[in-house]
Amino acid sequence: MKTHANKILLSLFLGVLCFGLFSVNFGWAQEIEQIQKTRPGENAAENMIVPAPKNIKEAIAIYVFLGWMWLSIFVLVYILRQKIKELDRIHKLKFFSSHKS
Amino acid sequence: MNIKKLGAGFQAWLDDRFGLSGIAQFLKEKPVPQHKHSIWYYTGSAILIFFTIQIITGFMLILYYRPTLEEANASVARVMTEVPLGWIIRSVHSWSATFMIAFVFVHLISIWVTKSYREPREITWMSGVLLLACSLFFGFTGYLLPWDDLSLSATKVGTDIPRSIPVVGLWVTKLLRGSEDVTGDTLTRFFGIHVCILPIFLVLLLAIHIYLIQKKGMSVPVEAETRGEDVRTIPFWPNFVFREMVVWLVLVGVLFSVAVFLPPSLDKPADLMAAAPEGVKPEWYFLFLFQTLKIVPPKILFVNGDTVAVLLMLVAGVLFFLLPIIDNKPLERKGKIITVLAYALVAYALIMSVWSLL
Repeated sequence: MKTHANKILLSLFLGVLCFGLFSVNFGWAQEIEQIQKTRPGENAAENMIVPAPKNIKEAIAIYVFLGWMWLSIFVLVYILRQKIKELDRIHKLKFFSSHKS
Repeated sequence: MNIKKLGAGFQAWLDDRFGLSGIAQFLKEKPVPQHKHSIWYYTGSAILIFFTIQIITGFMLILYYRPTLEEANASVARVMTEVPLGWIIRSVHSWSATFMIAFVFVHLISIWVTKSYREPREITWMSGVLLLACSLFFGFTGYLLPWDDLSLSATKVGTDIPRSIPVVGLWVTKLLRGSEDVTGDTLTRFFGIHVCILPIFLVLLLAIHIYLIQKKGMSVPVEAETRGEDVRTIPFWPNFVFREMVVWLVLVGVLFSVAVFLPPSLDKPADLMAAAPEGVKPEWYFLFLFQTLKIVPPKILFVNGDTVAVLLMLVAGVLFFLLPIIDNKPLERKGKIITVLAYALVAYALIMSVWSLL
């Protein structure tokens, strides 16, 4: 019974994945077609060029880069905040010690 | 010889030639005041970050851009469709210009409201106003470069404005356009101004501005200065620079995200013979001036309405430039009225811009 349910879940998952990939590919194929239509020297005069990634590979690369960039930013901001706290603490200590002497 | 020794040796060699240790010592000792208005200090370095991004992306775009009537639009189209990630580079260039100008406005208004231009920082303010003018002219000249319908029409409207100035108006319009009307000569001229003349002016002004900030130090709130209070300070390096780095990281992240999700499009090539398209509007930072000119009546006391409006704008610009000299008693009644004027100007610009978009 459990194996049967697992099989259904697996086929559902695969189905959603295939549908997603197909629709993404289909969408991008349309965009590529539009970009190719508006290449300079062909018939660029008639259409407005709406910028977009050229293919699915470029699109994934851009979104992965954005994700990685934000993750790096969060990590760096965290490290910098810790550094700032420590630097301020040392600065205060120096300030009070100079006042004592 | 280990790497640490080698590094120290190289550092000593550089220090001997450039005197870097003196600069490092100055930055370590430079105090940065900490108070309730300190947040505005970060807008200055944010402008510098966006300007640096402008230079880098500008160099990348210049490799493909061709400033001629026949090729300008096609070369931008090529950047957007054929050059790997060219559309992102163009988008980052365009959005960093928008962000830079927005931060220049915020920076100047914050200085106006906190009265940081008071003695001895008058020239720092004046160089800042000139930097604003340079940034706006950068935006204006850059807007024409894609050479599409909208940019051509907006440039026609923009270069037509000085025509209303008595005596020199027509000459200024011709100087900007290179002829009676906007043509290929205007495009080449704007390209030259955008990539050569303005960067030289901006870098010179920036050098003067930064030098004056280092020379006179960062201002403290006028109330604290008058009462002779001691304002808490932190060292510029590393305490303040690390704080600035947090701001830079977040701003760069926002810039790249906006550039990816909202890239500027490119319209069909401009036709010099075609009628102006409907709903021509300049960039957002000129909207309030554009709307002001639109609502001015054609005649004011037998004088051309546009002439009166343009002359009033010029006078307002001169007064803005001379603000530290006019507002020489910031804590008295006059100073308070001038602060209220700053808020009124911001409200006016916002209302006019929104009205123009409706």
